[in-house]
Amino acid sequence: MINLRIEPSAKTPLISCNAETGIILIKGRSIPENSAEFFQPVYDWIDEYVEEPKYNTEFQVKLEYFNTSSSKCILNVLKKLENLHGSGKSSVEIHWYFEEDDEDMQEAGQDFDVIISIPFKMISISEFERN
Amino acid sequence: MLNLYTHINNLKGHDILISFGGKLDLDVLDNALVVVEKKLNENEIALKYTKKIYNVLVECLQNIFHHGIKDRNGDAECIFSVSYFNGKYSIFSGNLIPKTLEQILSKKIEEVNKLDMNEVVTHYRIVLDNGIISDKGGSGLGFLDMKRKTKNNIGYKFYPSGEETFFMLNLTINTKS
Repeated sequence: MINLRIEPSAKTPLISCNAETGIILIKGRSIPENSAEFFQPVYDWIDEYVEEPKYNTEFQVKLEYFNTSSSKCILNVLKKLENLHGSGKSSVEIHWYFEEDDEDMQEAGQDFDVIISIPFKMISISEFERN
Repeated sequence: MLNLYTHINNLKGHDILISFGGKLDLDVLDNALVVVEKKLNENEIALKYTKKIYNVLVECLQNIFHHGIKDRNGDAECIFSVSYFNGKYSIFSGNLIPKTLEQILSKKIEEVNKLDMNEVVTHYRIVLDNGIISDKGGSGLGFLDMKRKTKNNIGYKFYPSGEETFFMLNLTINTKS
């Protein structure tokens, strides 16, 4: 299947969905006015990926900022991955990165961890690379 | 109706990072975020506060963009500001809404203001898990997110203006604990 890559902009994150490695990456800032529209290609890609997933799937989240409508979209992605994990076709892990001083991003990760039943790793780093 | 001149007068003594009065379109919104981020970086405050202020401003401006009364070009009349005084950053945003929304908004904000911080987190998770994105792009999380990020109650005021109301939000972020 074709990999998905969406280049970042001032208000939208880098998206990289790789069917060969099973790694889905979202990185940067996600504050678009229309989050649902932005995330639709990601939903579509995952819907196709789950038909023939890798044995291991990793969702890496490295976000500096996201708005409340993006949080709903991230949850939708997580729910799709939760279904995949539950199906037994792929072992899914979430890697949630946050800057060590950023309590809001850490708490946001904890919110998703409480809602979603997939192994969730919270990873504190000193600082994200900024372009 | 509250205007920018009166609003700035009310902020006497504040260091104003940005103030705007006029039509909010996407260009204004995008440029305002760039300016505020640059000024916050210049102020050399801790990253966590920069992020809080930026995030709260994004929510305020996108609220105006999605919910404010629009003119025939789709732009919403508004004022907003970010200012600093005595260890606190204040974010104000105001826009016109239909008078009929006054009670609904006031009830929603009062409900959030009554919650303690643990209850805010619990409610936030419930709405996140169960809510859906509205046609206007709203998630139902806005006020909960504002209280959670600022760790303060949401200030608000209505200024009647004929059939409409000017709805002003005031969020405060303490940088000295």
